[in-house]
Amino acid sequence: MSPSDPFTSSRRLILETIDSTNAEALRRAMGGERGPLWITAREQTAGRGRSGRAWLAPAGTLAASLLMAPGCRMEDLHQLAFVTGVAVHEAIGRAAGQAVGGLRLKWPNDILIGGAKAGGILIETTSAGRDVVAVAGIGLNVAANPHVEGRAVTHIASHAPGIDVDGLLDALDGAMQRWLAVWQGGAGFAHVRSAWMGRTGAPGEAIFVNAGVERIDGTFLGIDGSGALLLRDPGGSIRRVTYGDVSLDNGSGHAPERTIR
Amino acid sequence: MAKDKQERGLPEHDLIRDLAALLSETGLSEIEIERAGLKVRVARTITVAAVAPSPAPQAALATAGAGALPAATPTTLDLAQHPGCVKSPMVGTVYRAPDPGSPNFVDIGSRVAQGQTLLIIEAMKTMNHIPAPKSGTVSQVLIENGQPVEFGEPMVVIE
Repeated sequence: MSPSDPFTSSRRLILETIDSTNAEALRRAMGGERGPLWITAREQTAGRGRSGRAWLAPAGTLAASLLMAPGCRMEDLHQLAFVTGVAVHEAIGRAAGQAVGGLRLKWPNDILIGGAKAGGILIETTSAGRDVVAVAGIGLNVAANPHVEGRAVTHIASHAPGIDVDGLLDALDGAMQRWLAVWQGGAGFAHVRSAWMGRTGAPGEAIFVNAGVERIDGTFLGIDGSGALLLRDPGGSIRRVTYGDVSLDNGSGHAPERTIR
Repeated sequence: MAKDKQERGLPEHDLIRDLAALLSETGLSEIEIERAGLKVRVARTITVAAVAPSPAPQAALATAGAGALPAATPTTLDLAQHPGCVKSPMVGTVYRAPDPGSPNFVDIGSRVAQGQTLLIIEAMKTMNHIPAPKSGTVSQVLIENGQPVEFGEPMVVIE
């Protein structure tokens, strides 16, 4: 499918309320569902962020999970965070009908506008026999955003008036299909990586990583061929980071996420 | 026998002996050091002590330090051959509960149904749920919460 084609829509399951669209998708995967299937809910009672952090989703936010058979190696499953990030970035632009100033991605799974958090991605996987099933969970602050103490948070409509949840879901569907096709189960990750790099901060940006017991300061270099974050530390060494919370060291009061463990 | 061969044949013998002694002394389950191209990981499986049919290797480790160390490896290898052994499909960090405030997915003695999540392996911030390959009872849990796991590492045994 060429990027100019109108998307053919995937099946959608639209729920009024659910604990978490990702949890529902995983349950359905264990029940034999292989997708592609979108699961969305107007209300999530137990939305999840990484490592069990609560994902707050008041009215006006979008919670959507795409259940799919990714057809990739187990060690490449995390690349879906980058595929999804690029697709979300593109979908927001399309649904807004204009470029959204300050819209960017942050390693590995955050969506920012002007340095404030506008959404996040959580990839979860499971397997049934030999089948690996992946769930790309997307949470976006569309018409409203939760207020989180100590964090800069925003919503998309305050930067792109007229954007709505339904239109954004349509755009997400098309964008995910296009970028999954580019990715080709990992064979096309170089293209995804390049697209992701074009939608994140410029190399040289000052960042720091809270990696459990260690804080690593440095300048952003990009991501490597597997998706790991590369930064140059003050000593000049290149550090490869595969976990931790990344913060932009831009004095915007963008505090690091609470690290639970 | 094995001890002599080990002392003469292994240049890192003293280092490993020191690490093993440290392991016993501190009660840690694993120590890994890396320097100048040499990477040494000394580990013991604490959980095994409670359920293993033969407690001999564990007792030897406590009293003899490095002398008993090689015995720990065959134990892990034997478990890997166990038909109910669930091995890690990837490199990552293992979590036994969905979040820090929740109970473990499973513990020793838990009855599990095929497909039920046993644990989560986080790799590059992707949460990979590892399901039970068959129904049964969890007889051994070989990993600890937050521990790094390697590809093929035995994690849980279901009888």
